[in-house]
Amino acid sequence: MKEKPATVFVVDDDEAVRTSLRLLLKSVGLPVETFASAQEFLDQFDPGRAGCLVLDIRMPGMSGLELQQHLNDRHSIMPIVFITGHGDVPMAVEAMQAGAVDFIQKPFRDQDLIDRINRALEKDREMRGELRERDEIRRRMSQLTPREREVLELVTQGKANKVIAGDLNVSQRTVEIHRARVMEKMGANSLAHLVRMVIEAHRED
Amino acid sequence: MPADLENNDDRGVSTVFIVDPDEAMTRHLAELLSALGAEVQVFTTAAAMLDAPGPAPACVISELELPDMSGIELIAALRSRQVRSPVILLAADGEIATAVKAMRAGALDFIEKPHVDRLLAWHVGRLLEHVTPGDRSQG
Repeated sequence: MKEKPATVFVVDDDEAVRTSLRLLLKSVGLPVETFASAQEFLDQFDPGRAGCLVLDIRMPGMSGLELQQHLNDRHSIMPIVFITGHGDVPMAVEAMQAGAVDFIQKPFRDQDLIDRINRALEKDREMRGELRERDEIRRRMSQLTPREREVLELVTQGKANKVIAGDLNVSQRTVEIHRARVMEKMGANSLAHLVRMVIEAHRED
Repeated sequence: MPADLENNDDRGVSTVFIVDPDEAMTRHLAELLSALGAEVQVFTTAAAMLDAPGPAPACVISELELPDMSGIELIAALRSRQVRSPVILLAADGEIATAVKAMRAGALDFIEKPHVDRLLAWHVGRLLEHVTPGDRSQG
């Protein structure tokens, strides 16, 4: 199944804004989908889709900040660029504290918005890449035998083979064999690499 | 390189650094935060703070416009020295664009002067409570 291309999702209750943003983003070749309300966006939201959200902060019904909260509750990683007609500093700070990547005031220069959207899309790509990598590391870890997992645990604690052999009550040679299998299954080319992978695997999503 | 601000976990438990050339402001903030149990150290320039000996503080509160650099640059300077203390910026004329830049740079908060007391007290109270549980001053 082919993944849909990264899309700019525009949520704004003002139809004129939606139309002009759609035209602007299309003109630079970015796929766009527009929504007239936060609820409308939330109803069709698919966390698996790549892209970024361009979100009006003040809207009737659910506000932009409330939508951000809902998305955070769903562990969304989609970067948000807020746009506002009459924002103030506390509002901008709140949005940023809640994880927005940017906050821009109207009127803005088209190029300025496009730059920020591109930066948000870049961030989305990076984060999706990291998530994929983490999934892959976890997949590899799940293929280790219980004994290999124990060895992995002790090796990444920095323990020497001799110490591990003592801990597990096996010969040093056995530890060496397990250790080699762990390195191979994990695709690690050094101990440092292995440690990084374990840290990555334990990171929260 | 001088071994100034160190990055260690045993960090300045209840120390709060205030960086602001405005003496009236720092005196006021020092009083406010001392009452919350913070050990306050005041600096008038970024350089003086960056050269301060001892462990990293629990929190840094800095004016946005310092004589030798901006508060946003100060965050970068701290991070490049591996100092992870949270930084709160205070600004006299806060602009949205500047606030957004500060938050992107990793500020914990960006508060507009002069009404900074309530939020600062809240942040510092929280940060200190984290290190010394149950030692929160009442009232």
